[in-house]
This record gives sequence, structure tokens and C-alpha cells, in this order.
Amino acid sequence: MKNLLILLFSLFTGSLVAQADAVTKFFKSYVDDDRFSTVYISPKMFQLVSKIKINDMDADLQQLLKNIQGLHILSTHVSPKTFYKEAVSKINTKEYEELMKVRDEGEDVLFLTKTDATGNKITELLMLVGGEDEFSLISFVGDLDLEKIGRLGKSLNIDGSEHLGKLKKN
Amino acid sequence: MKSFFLSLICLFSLSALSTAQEQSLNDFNREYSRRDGIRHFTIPGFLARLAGNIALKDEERIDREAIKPLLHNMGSVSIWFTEDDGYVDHRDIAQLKENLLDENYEVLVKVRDGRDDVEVLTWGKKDVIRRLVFFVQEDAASFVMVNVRGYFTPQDISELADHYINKSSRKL
Repeated sequence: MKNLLILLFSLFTGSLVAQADAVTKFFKSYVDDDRFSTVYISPKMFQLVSKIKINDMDADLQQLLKNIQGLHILSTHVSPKTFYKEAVSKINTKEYEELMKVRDEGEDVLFLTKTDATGNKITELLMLVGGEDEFSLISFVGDLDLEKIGRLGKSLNIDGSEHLGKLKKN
Repeated sequence: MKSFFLSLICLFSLSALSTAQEQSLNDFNREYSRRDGIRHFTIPGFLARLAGNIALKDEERIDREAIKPLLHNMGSVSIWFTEDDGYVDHRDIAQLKENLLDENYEVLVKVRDGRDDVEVLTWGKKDVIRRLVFFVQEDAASFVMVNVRGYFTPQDISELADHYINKSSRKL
């Protein structure tokens, strides 16, 4: 009986890990592909930036930076629609909750969020952009405040990050 | 006499700590610095500061007040780069990065755009950055690595960031 329980538990946790890795796997499968541009900003970088006191930076934004655990960006201009469809199909919808879907000037923008066990805190924001010219996947991990991330979009100055502003408007 | 020995012990442990953080860079240096097409040199801290101070003498440079604290705390700078037919095996670069992480370096940022690859690693205590290692690869043959030693505090970086933000807002 004990063995059966251990087996069931292993299977259950194993499937959770497999789900949690869907985005990471997608990212890793293209991280060395020359068609893609990738950016990874580590928690250490956010931690350092949050300690830098910049006079004009508001306290909320500084707090947000402190709470971000990492940022992954993957983008390409090659077959963007195909990669967008592939990403959407590979992402586990049980794990992520669809926050918003926008079609803007031929571009599909999909925002997905992951929450902690209590369901009160957003621990990951995933943004997928697929258009005629560009595919982008942006993943923020940490203790997130969507409105503040929307404000961060402008400052990032990276392909696709301008869509983060949509979070603020909505 | 006792204080003399204590000072010696402190100096020894400081240098041992410093060497421990550069073991893998030293190994890499031993492996590659004498190969054809690989250039390596180290600019001593005093020379780096001197060169920086000369550059800052320029009255036109309005950012010199902001750069000064960073320059003041800058140590030596080591640079490795390939030229002509020089080549660094990408597996050795990957191994070096892994070894640096084992030596408690942390990744700050990784950017890859096509075949251009940039990675910055840092080592420090608490919020103070003591080492910054930059890896830049443009393609399989071109490789640049820079190791900057120093004592950079968030306050120093804040002053510089503030300065540039104010400068750009003045432009607007």
C-alpha cells in the first residue's frame, strides 16, 4: 500500500514538473537557434538594479524590480505566425490562465498568468506576440503586479515589450 | 609583533580569497594566452585609473563627476581576444562559464542576437560588485573576454545612472 502511494505521488509530482517545464522547454529548444534573439536577465541583475537609487524612478517601480525573479525573452522575424501557433499549442492551459487576448493591426497578443498555490499572487506573466513580422515570447517570473509591469513596458525598449502597455490600459 | 603577524594573515587570506575567485580564469589563461591568434593583456589598476583620469580632464566631459567614484574604485582590467586565425573552442568557453558559476559568480545578463552572443557574470559580496566578466562572441571565430576587478557599490552606480537620466531628460 505504501509503495502504491509513493508511486502515485511520484507520478503526480512528475506530471506537475512536466507541466511547469513547458515554457522553459520551449525557450531552451530555440535558445541556440540562430533565427532567434534571446535575452535573459537574472534575479541578481534585478536585485542590483532595485538597490540603485535613481532620483526620478518612482518607488512602486523600484519595488516591482525587487520582486522580479527573472526575465526571458525569445523573438524572431522568421516564420513568426508558425512559431506563435507552436508556442500556443505547447503551453499548458491548465497551468496558465488566459488573462487577455488582443488582435491589433494583424498581430495576435496573448497574455497568460500563473498564480501561486493560494491563487492570490501572480508568479509568472507570459506574453506571446505573433504577427506577420515578428514572434516574441516574454516571460516575467516573480511576485508580480500587472499594472506596474505595464508601466515597465515602455522602459524596456525591446521588440514586443511595447505590448506590455496593454496591461495598463485594461 | 602580534599585530604584524595578524596583518600578514589578513593580507594572505585576502590574496587567497582573490585567487580563489580567479582560479578558472587563470586556468583558461594558461591554456590559451600563448596560443597563436590569442591576445591577452592586463592593465594594472593604477594605469586604468590614470588613463581614465586623463580622459576626464577634458572640460567638455560633463559626466566626469559621475564617473569619478567608479573610476576611483576600479582595479585591474584583463582582456583576452582573438585575432587573425585565433580560435577559442566553444566547449572551453562553456566550461569556463560553468567553472565561474562554481566559484560563486552569478549571471547578470545573457543576450544573443543571431550569432552575436554577450554574457555578463559578476562576483561580489552583498551588494558590492568585485568582479565583472564580459564574454562577447560575434561568431565562432571571434571572441572577447574582459575581466574587470574593482569595488563598485550601488551608490556609485546610482550616481552614474542619475547623471545619465538627468542628461537625457535635459536633452528632451
